Amino acid sequence: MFPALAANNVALFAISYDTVAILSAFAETHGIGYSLLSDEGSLVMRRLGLINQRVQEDHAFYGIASSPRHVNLPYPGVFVFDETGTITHKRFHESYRERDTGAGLMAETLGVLDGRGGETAVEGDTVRLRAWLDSPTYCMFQRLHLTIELAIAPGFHVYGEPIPRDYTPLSVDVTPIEGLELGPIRWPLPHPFTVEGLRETFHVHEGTVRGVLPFMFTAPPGAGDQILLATVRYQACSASTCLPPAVIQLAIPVREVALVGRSLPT
Amino acid sequence: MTLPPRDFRKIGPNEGERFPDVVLPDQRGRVVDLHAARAGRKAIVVFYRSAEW
Repeated sequence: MFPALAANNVALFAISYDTVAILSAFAETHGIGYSLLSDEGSLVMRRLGLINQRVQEDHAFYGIASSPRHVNLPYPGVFVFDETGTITHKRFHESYRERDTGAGLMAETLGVLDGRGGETAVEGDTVRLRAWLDSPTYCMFQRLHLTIELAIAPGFHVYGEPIPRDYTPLSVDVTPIEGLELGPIRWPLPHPFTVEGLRETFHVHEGTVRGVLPFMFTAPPGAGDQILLATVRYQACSASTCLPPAVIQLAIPVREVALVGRSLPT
Repeated sequence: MTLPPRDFRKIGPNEGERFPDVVLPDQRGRVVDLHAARAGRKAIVVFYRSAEW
């Protein structure tokens, strides 16, 4: 990720209320080269309006024991801004556990795609399928995304939904893994399509279509490297020909990054 | 049971606004003026709970 930051001319800063000594030790342990800024006393976070006023309530909800350190905490989140310093993206999460991957954040907010992982390409008859993850690695509770891209041969379409009976819509199923949580896949809206002589209205994708499937692993650290097994189903037709439904199986590896010396609060 | 949802648009500066000036020491104890240090580059600023716990 950090070569990607440099290559794309993006500066990175991380701000917490830790002392310089704590940040220094942390940077050394984890080999961190970017700026960890020390907002001891949380004055900047307070000035920016980022202090979570409901920490005790939240911690009670998440079952986190109280501690004198649990005051003046910010909401966990990220700002992205452009060359002029204008904020272009603001991302905050309800839970401290959930966070974006660096690569995923860069892909989504800055269009930087250097951090991809698990890239796979399959040539079908009428479809060229590519799949990738926005990060080659995961940590517990990081939000990752599997992108599935179909380049459909000119003159052909694949079906979206709603769809008449006996046709196969484009779909992706991922084999369950313990601790794997999958969000709904997002496809672009298919457009209505009618065939002369048929009463039904179809909804189809043409050209290049990309679906994005959010997921995260919630198993405790040490769950190890994983392989996502995805099954892509589709049916390709042209105005005159309909091919039988097709299935493409993908195996996409993702490596675990251990949280060295870290644990969730208990 | 769920927590009441928060409206994060009301928390902190918003998209379209200039990110405020921030001057803080880094892990080496050097004072960093965030906007000066990014030297005209785009930037990502992460707020997190702590590096210690």
